[in-house]
Amino acid sequence: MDPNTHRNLYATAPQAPDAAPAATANVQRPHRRRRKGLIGRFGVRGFDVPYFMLTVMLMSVGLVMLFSASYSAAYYKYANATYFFTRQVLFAVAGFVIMFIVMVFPYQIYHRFAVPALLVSFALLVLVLFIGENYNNATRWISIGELFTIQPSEIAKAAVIISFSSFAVRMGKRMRSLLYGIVPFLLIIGMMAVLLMKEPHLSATVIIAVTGIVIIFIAGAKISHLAVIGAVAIALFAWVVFGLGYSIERINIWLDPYLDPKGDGYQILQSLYAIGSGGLFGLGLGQSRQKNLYLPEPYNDFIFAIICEELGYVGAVLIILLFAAFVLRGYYIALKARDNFGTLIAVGVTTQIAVQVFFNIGVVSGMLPVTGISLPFFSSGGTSLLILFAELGMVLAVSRQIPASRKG
Amino acid sequence: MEAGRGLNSSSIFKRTVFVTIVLGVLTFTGLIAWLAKVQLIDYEDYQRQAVSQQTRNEVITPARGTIYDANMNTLAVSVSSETVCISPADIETEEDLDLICEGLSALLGPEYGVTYDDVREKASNKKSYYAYIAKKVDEETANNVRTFITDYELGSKVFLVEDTSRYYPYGTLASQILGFTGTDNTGLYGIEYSMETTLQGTPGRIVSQKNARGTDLAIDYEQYYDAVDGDSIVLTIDAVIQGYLEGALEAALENAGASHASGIVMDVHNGQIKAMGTYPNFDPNDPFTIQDAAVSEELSLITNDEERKAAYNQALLELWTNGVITTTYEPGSVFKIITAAMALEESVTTLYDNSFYCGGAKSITIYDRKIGCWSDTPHGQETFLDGIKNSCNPVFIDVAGRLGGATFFKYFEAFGFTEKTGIELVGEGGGSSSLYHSETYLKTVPISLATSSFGQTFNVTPLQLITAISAAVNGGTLYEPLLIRQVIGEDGSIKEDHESIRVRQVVTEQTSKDLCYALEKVVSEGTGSNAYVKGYAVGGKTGTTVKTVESTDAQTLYISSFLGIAPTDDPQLAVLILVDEPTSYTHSGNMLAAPYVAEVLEKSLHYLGVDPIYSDDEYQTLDVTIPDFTGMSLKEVEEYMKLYDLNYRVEGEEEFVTSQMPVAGAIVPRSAEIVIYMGGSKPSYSVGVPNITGMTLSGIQRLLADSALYIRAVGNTSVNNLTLSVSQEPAYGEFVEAGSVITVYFVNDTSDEDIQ
Repeated sequence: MDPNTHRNLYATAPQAPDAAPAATANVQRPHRRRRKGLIGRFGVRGFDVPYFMLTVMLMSVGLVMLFSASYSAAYYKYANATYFFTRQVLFAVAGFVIMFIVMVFPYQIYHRFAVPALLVSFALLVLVLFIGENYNNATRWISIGELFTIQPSEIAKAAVIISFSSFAVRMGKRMRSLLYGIVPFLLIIGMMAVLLMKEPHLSATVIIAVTGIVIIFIAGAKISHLAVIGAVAIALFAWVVFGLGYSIERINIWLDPYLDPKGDGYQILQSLYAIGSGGLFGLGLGQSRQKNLYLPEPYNDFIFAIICEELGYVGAVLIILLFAAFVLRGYYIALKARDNFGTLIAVGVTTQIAVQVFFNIGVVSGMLPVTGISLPFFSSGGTSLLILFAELGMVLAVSRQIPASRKG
Repeated sequence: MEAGRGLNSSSIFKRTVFVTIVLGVLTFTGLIAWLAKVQLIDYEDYQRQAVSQQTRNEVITPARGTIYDANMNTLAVSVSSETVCISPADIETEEDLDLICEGLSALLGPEYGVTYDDVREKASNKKSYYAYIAKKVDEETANNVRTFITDYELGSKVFLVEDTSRYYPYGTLASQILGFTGTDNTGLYGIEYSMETTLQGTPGRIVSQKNARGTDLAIDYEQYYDAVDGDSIVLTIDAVIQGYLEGALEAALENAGASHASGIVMDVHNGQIKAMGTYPNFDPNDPFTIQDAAVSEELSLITNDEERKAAYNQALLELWTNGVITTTYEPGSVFKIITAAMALEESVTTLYDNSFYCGGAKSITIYDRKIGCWSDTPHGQETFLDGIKNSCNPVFIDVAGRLGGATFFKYFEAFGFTEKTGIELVGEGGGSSSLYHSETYLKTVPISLATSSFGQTFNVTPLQLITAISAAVNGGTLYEPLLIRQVIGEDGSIKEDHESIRVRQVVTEQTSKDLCYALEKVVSEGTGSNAYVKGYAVGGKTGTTVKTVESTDAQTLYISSFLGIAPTDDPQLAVLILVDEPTSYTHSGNMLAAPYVAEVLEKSLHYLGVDPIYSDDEYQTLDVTIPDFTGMSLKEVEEYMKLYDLNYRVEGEEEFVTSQMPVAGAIVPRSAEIVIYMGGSKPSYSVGVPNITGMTLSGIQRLLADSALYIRAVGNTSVNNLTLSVSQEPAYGEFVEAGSVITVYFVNDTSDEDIQ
């Protein structure tokens, strides 16, 4: 290992000789005392090991379940039972590499990407409407070559975390005002929402909106403002859903999937059949029957149904608890972060994952109306996995700078 | 200085904790709770539906039992056949579709009526996983299709389904007895229907897992419940005798220009039905097609489509119906056998009782009704035997009067006319109280007793009639008619053995013997002369029925019938033939039905190995087949002629036979003189065939005495001088080689009873 790296990490290492006085002094001092600027914060040491371990566990379980859920469909679709699994393994490996690379950099440099990331996201969101691939009546993907597709919405999700956190920190106390603390953020969310609904992509809209609002909420936006905005947003949402009829059918199907068991209700019913078949202990790993072409794309958004079928309620709850632990550790890192920017970054990433897990499992189990939302670590998908790992890298980068005194 | 310094740290902390609680704890708690509801509380319904869609519950059709005749010839058998199907939902590309349409139309082609466009059309329902292309595909074609599937890897897109279908090797033979099966392999008519539960077996099941496309999964469970094949049935029907009967019925129908001809052959000793049926009939292999040309032609004349369709269905129904068990008719004079049996049994008369008098037609008045004999010429004073021979109505009216209504009814009942016979077929008619006169009615209304005595004003089925008459001639025992001899399990074991069921003793053996004697006289000397068979003593009785319901003022419709038994010293078989609605010059049962009864009796008794007993006259008229004598020495010829008791004379004096007359292979009566040429040449000129129809045998013999033609007489030539030739072969005017044989057919033109 590079000796430089050693020195850089000196300040954050809990066993460092000068760590003891730091506990009583200004928590931020040891870092700046050693070397000024961001250069001193490069490195890999000191990241949050529990968070990393939870990541490894989720990804491992995710790969196993993906293989189990996908081989039948892969066999019928591509005559290759490991088609999805192989791809996912490759993306997971690439994901870990990206996670480490991102983690190495001090997260403070994200300030520099705040505006470019937003601009790139908008550009891609506009571009996808023109050159995107249409699949299942939605234009959400841009093809790069034969093999890869990227989802601009995934990039937008990450961009919102970085830019909102950055803007909020820079706003400082002005976050309490309507003009600075609410309006600019809302404009960004609104513009993205308009573009996303053109695709259409309701779930990405919801995730981005929730993530963005949570960030500005944490950053100090006034609750009264947010409440008013929340009311307006709900009104707007209701108007989009009921007024424009965009999703009224989905709502009806959600309330009673048997309205159209062979059509719109098919997927959710098949999902419920799978979950119901699982019972308490499940049919056993690999024993799902619903994955045999009954449940459409069991390797994708509805993979959790196969988990429930194979591992039963016990297995499903264990995985939910794993997610819960992961999310709680994310918020823990946010709470312990060295600065507010770190807090907001960690909150943003964690919130996004939490919302996504909640929506996904909620949809799969019929608690929420069907909308295309993937399950992090589990659902097959290249871009989303890479972006997820990049975001985890950001959280780990935040964790690396947690002052020794705050480490639990 | 960090940019975020301005934010209130404690507020951030509090708010982050709030978000943590909401998103990190509450959401997941909510999910766990909700999932518990779905997976632990509401799961049963989901699970049930999942299992029902995931499992294939395939029924294994058991092999349907075989139907055999009495000699274990197969009359109906299930054969497996294959159906070619496609799965339109799996045909994804246009190339595949084209390939499949092209391939299947080429392989199946016109034989199964499959064209390129057909396949394309059937493939157009993209949601379907099953569309059949051709059914009952033969093995070779099925194999070709199989090769086509593997060669082009069309696995789930084209497939074959095994199916069983019913095959009737004898075609139309016994079709009304057998019935047929529908497309779902269940019996619809006849034995197939009435013995459905025996034949069908128990279906098995395979429960296996399948994916959404219906393909089996290699893994996991598969439960197999064996199918139990149906039991087989052995009928009392003898295919050979059935063939004789059907051949005779067809000939009878054609001869009489009748609408139907039907008949039954029964073993009188046990009630076993050896043959029965109605002509025209149908082919159970193709039950919905009318085979009979006359019927189809009649239908094609109907111009209105709907009417034609209705008429077509009606015609089919008639073809399928086993009329001899379902349809009742007035038995007419055939019933006189029963009245005679009653009279002899009750000793109200004897065969030689000379106290009867016939005053001819309408010679008897009962209240306001005048009835009498069929014959305008009175029979005058006669014995009871004469009355039977002449089928004289007044004689029977007289004996019925002597018997009285109560006794008459007692026997009517004892002979089984007041109930169904209990044959193992559905739809049996007869026996219902509306069809005959009650005891009280017979006692109180004399006309009903009078007309009943000669078989009128009440209805029976042909089966009831032959069953009763079998009892009357077999020594007096009534048997239940038997059609099913055995039920055989799939392993060949006999599961049921149906013995004849003896119902009751109706008359004594002596009565039966007397009756047989009287019936023999009807044939040998009386009104049933055309039932005569060389070598077998045939007894019988003619009958004519007026179809009172169907007749109109303009046209009276008849059923001409004859019931024969043979041999009369120990009756084996009873044969009843009914010729329905004859259109020929006569409706005499002796003319229209008796010759065919004779034909069936003769062939059947031969077939059953009953030795014929010939009188000297009969012996001389028996057919012999002339062998080839060429090359034989005189000594050898002499020996042969002696051995076979033949007439011959020798021409020429050489050592070996050079030629002969008639030629080798010719069939001539034994009495014909065979000419053996030893050196001398036989005449080789042609002879014109003279017209020899409408002549008696002796007349023909006189006419041809000096010609070089041989006569072979067919038919009853022994009764009296009313027996005339009706046709000849070769025909009049043809030229034949000297020494040829002319076959001449004779019919006795003794007119039998008419109806007043």
